[in-house]
Amino acid sequence: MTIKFMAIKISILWVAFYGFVTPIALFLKIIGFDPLHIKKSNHKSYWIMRTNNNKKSLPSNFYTQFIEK
Amino acid sequence: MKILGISAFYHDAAAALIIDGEIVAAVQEERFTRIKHDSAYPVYSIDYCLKFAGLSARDLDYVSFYDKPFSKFERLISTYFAFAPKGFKSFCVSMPIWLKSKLFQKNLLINKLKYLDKSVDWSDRLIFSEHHLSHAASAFFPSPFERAAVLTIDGVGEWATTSLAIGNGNNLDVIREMHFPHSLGFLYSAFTYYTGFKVNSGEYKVMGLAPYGEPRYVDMIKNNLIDIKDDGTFRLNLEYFDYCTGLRMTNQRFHALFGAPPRSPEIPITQREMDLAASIQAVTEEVVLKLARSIAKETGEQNLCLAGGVALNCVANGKLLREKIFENIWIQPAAGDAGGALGAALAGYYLFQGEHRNVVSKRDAMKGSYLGPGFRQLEIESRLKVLGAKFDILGDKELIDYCAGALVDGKAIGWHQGRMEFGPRALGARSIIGDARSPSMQKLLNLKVKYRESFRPFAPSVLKEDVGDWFELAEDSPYMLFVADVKAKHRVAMKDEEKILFGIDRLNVVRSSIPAVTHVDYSARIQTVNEDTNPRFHALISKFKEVTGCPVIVNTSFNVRGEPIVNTPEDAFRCFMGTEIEVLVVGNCVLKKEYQDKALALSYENNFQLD
Repeated sequence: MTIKFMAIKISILWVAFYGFVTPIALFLKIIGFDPLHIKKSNHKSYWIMRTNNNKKSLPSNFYTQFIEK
Repeated sequence: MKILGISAFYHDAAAALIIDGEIVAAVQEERFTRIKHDSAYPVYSIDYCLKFAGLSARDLDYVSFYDKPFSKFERLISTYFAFAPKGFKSFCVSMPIWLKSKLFQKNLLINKLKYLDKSVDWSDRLIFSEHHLSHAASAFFPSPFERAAVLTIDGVGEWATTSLAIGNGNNLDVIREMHFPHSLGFLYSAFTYYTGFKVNSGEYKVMGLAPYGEPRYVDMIKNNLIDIKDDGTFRLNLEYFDYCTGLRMTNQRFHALFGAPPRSPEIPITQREMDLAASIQAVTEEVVLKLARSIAKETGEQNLCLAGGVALNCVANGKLLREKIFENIWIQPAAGDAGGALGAALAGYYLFQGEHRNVVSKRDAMKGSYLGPGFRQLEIESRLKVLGAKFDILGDKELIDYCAGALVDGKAIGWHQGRMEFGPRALGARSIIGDARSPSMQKLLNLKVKYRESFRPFAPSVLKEDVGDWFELAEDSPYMLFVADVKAKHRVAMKDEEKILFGIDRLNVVRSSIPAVTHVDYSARIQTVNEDTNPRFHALISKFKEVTGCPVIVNTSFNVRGEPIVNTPEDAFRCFMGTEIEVLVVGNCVLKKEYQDKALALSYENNFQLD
């Protein structure tokens, strides 16, 4: 039972990863998407400025489970 | 206004309670469950905080969680999109956990809170801070500064791995960040893993190992692993790391670069590991100092607050202090994720509620970090009796006199007094103490009491008023977060045959009049003891000074390797009976090992998973 369950679970995850995540990832790579800033850069600084720094003090932001952008 | 802060579900779960801005109670869950770095929902910690304040759950105005789960999930998904088709192993491990529970943390928290009181609508009272905002809040709001630059550096929160905030009064704005996967914390952890120690707990060991080595790999690290800009910002070369897509910190390319696979835990440490430790420590210090310099220049702030796991690197902190980049530095004693619980509560109070902040300029608001459970004398006596312990009850003066005498006699004392410390350091409430002048004390404590690696140094507790006479440190260091050298006049000149010793062979060389707390490079991780925050500990060291002329004692956490610091008198008694601690002092009760029933001794050495 456990082995069968594990096999099904891994199969679903395999399909999700290689059938869904990977094609999108490859497409995003082709169009130059680099969300993690992995590519080398000649910038003088690697700081990322918070454009919403004042928003964080707003009470409404404390109710959300995500960072407002 | 009563706000409970919670950190959980990653590592070092904790709860903290603030009432009208005052920090009332804070404690890590591991102290109750006896599981080191326990990440579980902190049910016992919450229970303690409420009971200590005499509150019921419905009295809480808000419960503030220390990070934003959806943003963490977004980072996870983005990582898979960035690296696929690599990353299936990590996907298999993390995705089921997230889809099953972590993605529904709000519901999970609400359901847990319902156990406290079903009649409360917790969804109205549950708020979420950001991970680095929580760290920054824990560093700034309890600090003695009206204004400060706040630097937080850790592994990762939601996205941020490093952040800079400006604190002013009751406001705190995060103005810039560095994001995952570029993380100084993870870089240090990669070397922790590679040198054979456990990630998220062995980083202290790497720091302690560094002085034995030569930083011969610095150029290799800087040329291949990290690109450091002049302002201290950095990016990692992810071709050498496995943590984005796999289950380990480093990959084959990293191992090839340094010419060997990672050291297996528990096999002997070689000069190579020492050199690697020295190298990553040097790189970390370079980044921290460059960041501090550029922040000071750009912001013009005179005060700096620090938090995040990297802020526990007291060697780097000591260098930062000596460089005098900022006029004042204050570091949150619970700088790791446990402190996030406190920061979340403080962020809720000042940023969410906009409450006024009163700055206590002479002292911070942490109450010496003695924010955990304490036990009254009668309760201690009854608990010890139940255990079958044999003890004497001494008056305050007799107790101090006896303990000072026992220290002079070279005994290791288990010292359990008052409220437990919040944060990873023992600060004289749950400590094992000894005579710093003894040349054999370090070895005795490491091998027979703590059951840990012999290379690891011990910290000195020194009377605040005497610190300048013994160490190259003029500032207060109440939380053991700064390393400074022993003063030259207390050092012992090395003999010629000692000078040629290398690596771990240098361990047993007596290099000062307080050898038990003097590391191989003459440094020491100093705790200054203040009379107002810990009067009994201060009285003990004062008496020790009166007898010996030395205001310094050894202070190490009251636990063995892999065990959380003791919390209750029962925990203290078990550790006392399971190790070669000779005297246990709990409140005014004195327990001598020779009078205890040997049948009560536990096989303690192998009771805990090695860290």
